[in-house]
Amino acid sequence: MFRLICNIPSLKNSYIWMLCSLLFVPGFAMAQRVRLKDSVLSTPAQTIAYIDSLGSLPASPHWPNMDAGIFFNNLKTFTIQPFDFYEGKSTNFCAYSAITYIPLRYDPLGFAKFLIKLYLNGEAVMGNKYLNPGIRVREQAGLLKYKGVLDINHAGQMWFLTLADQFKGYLNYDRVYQPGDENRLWASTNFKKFNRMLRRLYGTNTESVGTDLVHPYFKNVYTYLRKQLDQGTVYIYLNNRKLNKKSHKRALLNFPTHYILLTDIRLLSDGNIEIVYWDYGKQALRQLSPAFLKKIIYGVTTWTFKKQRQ
Amino acid sequence: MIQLKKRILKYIVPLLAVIIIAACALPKNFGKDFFAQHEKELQLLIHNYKKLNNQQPFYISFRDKHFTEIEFVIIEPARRLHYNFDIGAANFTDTLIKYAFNTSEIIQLLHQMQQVKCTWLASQDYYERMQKKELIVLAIRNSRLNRNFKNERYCTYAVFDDPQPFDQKGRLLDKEDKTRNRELSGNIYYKVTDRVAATITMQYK
Repeated sequence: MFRLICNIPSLKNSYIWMLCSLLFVPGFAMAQRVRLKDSVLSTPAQTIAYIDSLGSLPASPHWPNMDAGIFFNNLKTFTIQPFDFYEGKSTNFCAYSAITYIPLRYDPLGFAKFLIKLYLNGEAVMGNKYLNPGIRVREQAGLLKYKGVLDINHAGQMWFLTLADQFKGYLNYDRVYQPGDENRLWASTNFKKFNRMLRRLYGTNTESVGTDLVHPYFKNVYTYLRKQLDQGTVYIYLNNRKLNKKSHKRALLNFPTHYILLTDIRLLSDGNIEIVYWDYGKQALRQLSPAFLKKIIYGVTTWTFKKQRQ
Repeated sequence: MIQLKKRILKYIVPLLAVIIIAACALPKNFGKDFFAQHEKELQLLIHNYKKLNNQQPFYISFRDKHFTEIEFVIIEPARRLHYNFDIGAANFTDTLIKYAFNTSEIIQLLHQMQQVKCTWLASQDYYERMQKKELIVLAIRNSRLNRNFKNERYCTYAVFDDPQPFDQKGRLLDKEDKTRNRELSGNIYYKVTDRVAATITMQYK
């Protein structure tokens, strides 16, 4: 998991315990996936206890427009209501919001410690990635407005702006942040960058199919997604203009625009597929035909913990 | 032949250019005019939606140009349920009954939406002085906005509970910082009344 987490004695023990316990399970000669529900590295109760033990935080010279009190409350909200994490209205932060589910779900304490370090020092390491956001981004965190609940989520603003600034792909090659860039290509994420972020930040295994322009081939889309969901955390890269129709105009060009986190999938008696996914700060449920689902999916990434070869 | 070419250049090309520009131009003050013409219907629609939305939060959008297919979204504390229906389909009323909606009032609301060609009706949150507030948004599809040579356009209204500040050009301002325009979903809104603002958008939600 995170390098950061390995520096925390209690979590280091649980991580070592998890790895050692695998030694006694027969038949694990090859690298295999760990069941995710057994891999929670810290609990919300531990996180709340840690945050409460801090009492408060001082204003950070690195993030001049962030409010220390709001930031402190945000850390608690992340822990108590992880599914309320919201990328903000009309921003391009969906990929960053989607990947935030992993630390919120499996290691909220490690994530809280990381955010506090980033806030206090203006830089921090997560997994294999040294994050050192630029001055323009650090000055903007706390000032994003008209984005819904993101307006009062300074920790979220800091985290999203840092990721957009520090991870670059061919879509957001522009390195210099200008106000309003959170709504533009500067914050966008192509599929390769998305997978790279998962690997570098969380240092574990990702398995993906698909591309930025061509649909992956599924013999049976339900069977595939069900199987992937049983193995790990599943992200879908899809065309949101078709899923969440916003205009009556027929699009001439179709391409993926959005990342969602799949949390459940069911095959209905009428042949349709019911998907439950995390998106825009809430779980959403939709019933779609298999053909439509195939038509909107451009990429599927499965994130799993991975055991070491023994 | 040369004279004909000259005539084409002199008269027909500018005339065509004027026609194309006129066809592409958006009607000025559409938001204000439409609201004035349909104020009764729009106020009734907003009133009825607010009443029903307070009982059980939801939003509605029409997915097609003929106003027959709807997306009905039920908002629960932890999740959103997105359902697509044809108006009048049995599964629509079954769903309304299942989630304890007032079926007849919802259907009446849909008819009111059809009358004014409202493609989207929803409640949205916004933040003012760190406090959460709600506003109603409704998008109108009208033939005056969707002539030939033009992309789809919608007139979106934002309806606030309390009076809002506007600048001299009629642009909606931020109450906390009156030098800054308040944006809603990335758009700048213009004054219709002191509580209603409108803008022309390419998307209805």
